[in-house]
Amino acid sequence: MASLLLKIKRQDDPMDLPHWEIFEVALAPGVSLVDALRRIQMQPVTNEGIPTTPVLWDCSCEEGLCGACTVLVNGKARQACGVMLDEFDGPVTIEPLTKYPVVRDLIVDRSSMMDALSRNLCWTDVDDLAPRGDRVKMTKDESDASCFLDCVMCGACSEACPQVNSRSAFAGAFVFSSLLPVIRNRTGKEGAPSRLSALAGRGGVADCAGAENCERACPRGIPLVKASAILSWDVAKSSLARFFRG
Amino acid sequence: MAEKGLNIVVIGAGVAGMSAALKAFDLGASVTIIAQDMPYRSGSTCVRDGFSAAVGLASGDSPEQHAEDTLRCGEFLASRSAVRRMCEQAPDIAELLLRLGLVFDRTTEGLPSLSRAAGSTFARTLSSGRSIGQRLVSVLSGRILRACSSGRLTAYYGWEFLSLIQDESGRARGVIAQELRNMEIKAFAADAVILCTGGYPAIFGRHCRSAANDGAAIVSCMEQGAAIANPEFVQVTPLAMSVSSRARSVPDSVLSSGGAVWIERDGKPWHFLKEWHGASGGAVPDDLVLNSLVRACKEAGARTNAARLDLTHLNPETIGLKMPFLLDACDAAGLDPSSETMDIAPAVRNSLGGLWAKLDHSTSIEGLFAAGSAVCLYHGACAMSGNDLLASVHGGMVAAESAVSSACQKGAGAAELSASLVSHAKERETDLVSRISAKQGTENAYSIASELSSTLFEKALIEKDNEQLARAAGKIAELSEKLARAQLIDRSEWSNSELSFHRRLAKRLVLADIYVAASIAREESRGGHRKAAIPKKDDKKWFVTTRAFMKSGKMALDLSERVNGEPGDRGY
Repeated sequence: MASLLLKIKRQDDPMDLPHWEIFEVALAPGVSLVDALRRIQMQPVTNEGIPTTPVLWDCSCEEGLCGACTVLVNGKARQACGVMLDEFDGPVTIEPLTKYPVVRDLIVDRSSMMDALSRNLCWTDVDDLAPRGDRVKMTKDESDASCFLDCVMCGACSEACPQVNSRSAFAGAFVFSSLLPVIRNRTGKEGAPSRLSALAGRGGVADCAGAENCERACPRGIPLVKASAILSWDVAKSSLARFFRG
Repeated sequence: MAEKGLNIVVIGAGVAGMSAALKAFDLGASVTIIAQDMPYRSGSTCVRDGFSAAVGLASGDSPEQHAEDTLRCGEFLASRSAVRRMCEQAPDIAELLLRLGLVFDRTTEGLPSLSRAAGSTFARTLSSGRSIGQRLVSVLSGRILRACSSGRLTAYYGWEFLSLIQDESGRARGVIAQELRNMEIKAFAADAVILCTGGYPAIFGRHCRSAANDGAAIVSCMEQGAAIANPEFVQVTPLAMSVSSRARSVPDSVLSSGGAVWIERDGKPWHFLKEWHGASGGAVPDDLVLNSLVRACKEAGARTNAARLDLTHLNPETIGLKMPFLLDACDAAGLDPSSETMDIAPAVRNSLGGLWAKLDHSTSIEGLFAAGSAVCLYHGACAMSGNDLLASVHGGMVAAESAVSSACQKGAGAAELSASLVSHAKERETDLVSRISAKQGTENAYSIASELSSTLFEKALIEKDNEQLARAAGKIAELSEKLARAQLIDRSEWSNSELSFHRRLAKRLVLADIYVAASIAREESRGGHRKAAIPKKDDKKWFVTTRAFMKSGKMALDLSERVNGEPGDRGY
């Protein structure tokens, strides 16, 4: 039976230095990277026959909807559950994402993504959960922004972005994707100016250098370049309005 | 408004957990969420079948009709009062979700674009892009972040619920949980606890939810005195595509939107669904599609229960507009639904049983409430498409109201919880960890789990047979012994997921045992529970809710509780 070598970057804990281990996995049609990692978990033995600890990775939905299993496959951020091994001819390198601290092996701590959403107030300002008795009807603005709700917080956009680094406050394009539906929402108009002025500051739209890697990297096909452009325009309009209103 | 200092602990951060937490927060309580991972990673993301609500009133639809359809689809086994209340509130909840930021797919005019769930009289299922579950999760997660920023809601993500802290009277007064990185075991005191950890589809192996939905938390509660209702009911859908080892469920509205299911007979497509269920246009609920498939495969002499889902006769635009939920799976499988047919085969859509609860979502343990797929109230013997997320949001909010009012009656008293009770509860879990860590056997826990799921899926799920079930029970006992001789390969004290796997596998085995015992006990066929030897339901004898509980360390079944409602005929 055909087999494939997986070269996996491992790290026992956040303080530890990384090291590499190679595993041989059997190839069959429809075997995903998650299937292979599960095999290794069951029998953690390297390709040289040396027993080791199971390789850890994050996983939940296994259908590309939860963002958990994102890892670098030959250097590119991808959802492990959607990577089919029969697409490769030679050895494949698997590494954790590099923009977030490693917890163990392929697991990284992406809680800073949530902090970025909090800083940018990515929520609608609804008073409470009581019904208002309105009809269910969607505006065109809301519908146009609905594709941005598809973000699964996987971190592929920030991984691909040169502006996301230790010297910059820019968190990544996922913030744009999370903020846009809020501003376009029926409840969002009032809160938009304060959110946009925050976005005009450090780590905001101006920090996007237009590399456009994010959109190419997004596994959900979200038009992130468009999100950045729309928000930049909104920020500019909002600043002008503030200027003229004094 | 709740009393000051009232503390509600919510376990789980999916749609039900977040709805419960947000409602309790709205009512003025301090809320602590304990979940294995952040909301974005929850099992709710996999729910693609929409959100049902009678919003198209001009068509003649009504909440009453929605309730009637739901009860009918569930073979009248769901609580009538609970279902009526849920359907009554569904349009208001749909409107609330819009205000919170969810956007439903719409017509040019801005009205919701509705699809018809199998078994429903009207088109009333709202959809949103490729996965409404994932979008709803992100919208609610934003609201949770807002509540967190106020300081009155604290979220502990990366923590696993282990067990309840109970006071002398048995009332739930908090929980013991473990941090999954540094492995710290900690006690969280509470005035009431709401369990929203999802169902148990993952024990069957081929399923369409998160691998984390293994029912471990439900079993923990049962071991501490809660009853589990209808454990034998599991919804198996043939409408599941295979991409890698993972099944991806297809919402059944694909049938009413023109999708065809066929198998090959004598070298030609045989549209058995249309042939046998012509009156409903072939759009019948999962259990009927499954029964028909099994029967058709037998008649055609096929070796496996595999079929093809065919949309090639439809306009590609219709597929894009009416079935965006298919696109992810098609992309992953690399096929174009407008020109190629899709392989489908049975998979578990979700479990239907769960913690037994009263109408107000209170379980048999005082102070413990449950919502979402962790509770058994709304779906009966077969869940109607689009009711899953509805039941989670609605149920989460009802559970929160009940938890807050129950805690108010008792008065805030987390501080009065005796230290010895807490340390005793904590010790029990620390001891369990040391016992697992000391395991030196030769068996492999992961192999045991996969043996368990193939036993359940192949021998005890689709066409149940008492002899096979008895053998499955024997196998489960054998696997439990094996687990005692299993080895813990990973000895690390940091982020040891294998340790947690061992602990949960023991609970999976308990649940499997209950599932099989209840399957043997119920001598009829109804919805998701089908016995080959007895193809009909028996309302005289079996119009009851199964209740499984622990009695002096042993599992026991009670089959005497009559269902809230009246039996009836589905009429399709």
